[in-house]
Amino acid sequence: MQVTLKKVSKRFPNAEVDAVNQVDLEIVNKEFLVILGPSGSGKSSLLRLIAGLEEVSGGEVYFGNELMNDVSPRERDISMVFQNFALFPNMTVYDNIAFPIRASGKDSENLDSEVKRIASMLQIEGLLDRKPGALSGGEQQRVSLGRAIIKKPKVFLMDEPLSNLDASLRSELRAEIKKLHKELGITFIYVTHDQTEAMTMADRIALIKDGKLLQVDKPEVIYDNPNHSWIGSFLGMPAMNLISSSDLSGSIPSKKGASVIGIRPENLNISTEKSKLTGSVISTEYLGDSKIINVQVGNSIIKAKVSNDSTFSVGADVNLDFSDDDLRFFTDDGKNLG
Amino acid sequence: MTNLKVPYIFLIPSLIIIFLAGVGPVFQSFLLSLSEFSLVNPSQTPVGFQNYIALLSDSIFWKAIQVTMLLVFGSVLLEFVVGIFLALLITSSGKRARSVFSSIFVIPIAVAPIVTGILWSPNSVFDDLNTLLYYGLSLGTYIDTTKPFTYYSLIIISDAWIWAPLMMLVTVAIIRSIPKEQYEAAEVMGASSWTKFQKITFPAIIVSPAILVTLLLRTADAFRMFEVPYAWNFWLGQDAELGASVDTVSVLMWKMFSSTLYDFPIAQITTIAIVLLMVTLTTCALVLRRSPRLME
Repeated sequence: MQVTLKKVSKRFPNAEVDAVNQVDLEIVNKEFLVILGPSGSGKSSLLRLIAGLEEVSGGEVYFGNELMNDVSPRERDISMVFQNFALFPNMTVYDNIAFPIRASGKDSENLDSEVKRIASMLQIEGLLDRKPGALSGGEQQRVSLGRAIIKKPKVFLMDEPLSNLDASLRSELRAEIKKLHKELGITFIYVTHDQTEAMTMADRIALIKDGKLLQVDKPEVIYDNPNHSWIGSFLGMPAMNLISSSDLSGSIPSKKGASVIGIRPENLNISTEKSKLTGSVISTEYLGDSKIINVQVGNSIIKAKVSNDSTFSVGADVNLDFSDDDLRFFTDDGKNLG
Repeated sequence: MTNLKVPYIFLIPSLIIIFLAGVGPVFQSFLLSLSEFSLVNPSQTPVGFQNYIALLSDSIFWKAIQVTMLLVFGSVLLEFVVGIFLALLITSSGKRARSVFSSIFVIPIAVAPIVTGILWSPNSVFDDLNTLLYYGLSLGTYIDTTKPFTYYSLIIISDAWIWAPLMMLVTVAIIRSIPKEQYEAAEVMGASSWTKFQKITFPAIIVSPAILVTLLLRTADAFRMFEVPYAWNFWLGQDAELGASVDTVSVLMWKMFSSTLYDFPIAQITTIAIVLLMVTLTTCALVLRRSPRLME
């Protein structure tokens, strides 16, 4: 199912600004789209508008060619997974998974085999008689995934489904959700604030900030060529270096109107020969597989990602080398000049 | 002295007060119930369990127990159901309507129970209502408040009128504590409002320790029901009669004490009080046994 948003806005009662501001977004059939943004950016509100759990204040939501603005969530043919799992605590796992079928009155004789098939697919077949309270977080989220897929929805919505889980479980479930997307062959819309989740799972990422959609594109494009300097500083660990052009000497290529120059830390090399940039080492950060060197250049601190066995003494002068192709140029208000 | 013992030493003064104020009088009453004693004949002579045997073989007492049980379970059940209904009304209405509703609904709690017994009397309500039914609407029918089913129902309804708001307040708090995502998940899954109530709201209410404690308190309190049945003694013209059809155990005790026909039989009244205490405690214990969640 293709989901299309046309100038969709949402303002909550008594709010001074729009939680979602004029969002135009086309989500292709069978796509895995991740809506990524910091907390308070309006990403969950956007998902809830798609689900119909909130009413739009302006604009149109289409599923296929059908206008959904006045269609209740029950009739939208969607499933949703929540951050806090939202399982029904007084029902067994079995009854939780069977709930959507029973609730919509489509109870059939295949229900039992269907519940068991889904449970074994999610590796929770041993837990069917338990109540959610007796399960771990990871198990609860599997049950909630099971409850969402039994309905065979056209659109699958996920609101930070992994944020309440610990790191190792997150990476395990990331792979499983991705696999699930392949198997089900339906549109997935996934909201997260975690860039790793977005990068690893998304076909396309929609970056949202302050209710506004900044960029929608493949993860590698968004990472490599962000259309706004804020995206550069949001994505990447560590983030893109954003250096004021006045701190850089004339040897650096520039573009007309560019006041901020961005370069990813991994695109900087430490060179022994005199190169384009020179500064003194302020500190180093050991990350296990690599090392971050903080270098003072003018008034800016530039981070360079280098191999973990390189050693630098604090205070020493280093030369930073880079390819001009890796430079990104931004205007004062963050616009990418290409 | 080890540190472990110190807290217990600090507890001793309060334990003494609890014993003097709580356990002592009950024990004293128990001793009294084992003797022959009245205000007319104040010499206390031990008679063993004679008072208990006499009481338990008295049909008036058994009738009072039956009436009390009927009113207790009738009113607590009705309060519970009406409380849930009012709570749903409040939690599903808008902000302004909610505050208006809740202030109106809570008023009966503040009304003195004896006033309730008068407010819901045949004279003040049903004469007019019956006039309307019989003559006004020419239905040829009227509510006969002298029929047992009618007056028991009316007593239960008036007690529920006082206490349903309490159940409502507790139920509202429980409903508010249910994560809204559960309802949203159900909504997205295609559940109707009734399914949501049946599968989410109602289970949450009945497993809640808060509602259980409230039901227990209400049950224990209802066993002592006095004012409304007392008022009905007059409406039914049975105020001078021991073992009237609306005599709860408490009303029976009062009648025994206040009537000039008896010699202020303190020992017998105390015996009834002890038996009522036992019945109340047993009922509460049975409720607790059925609800292991509260004990966790």
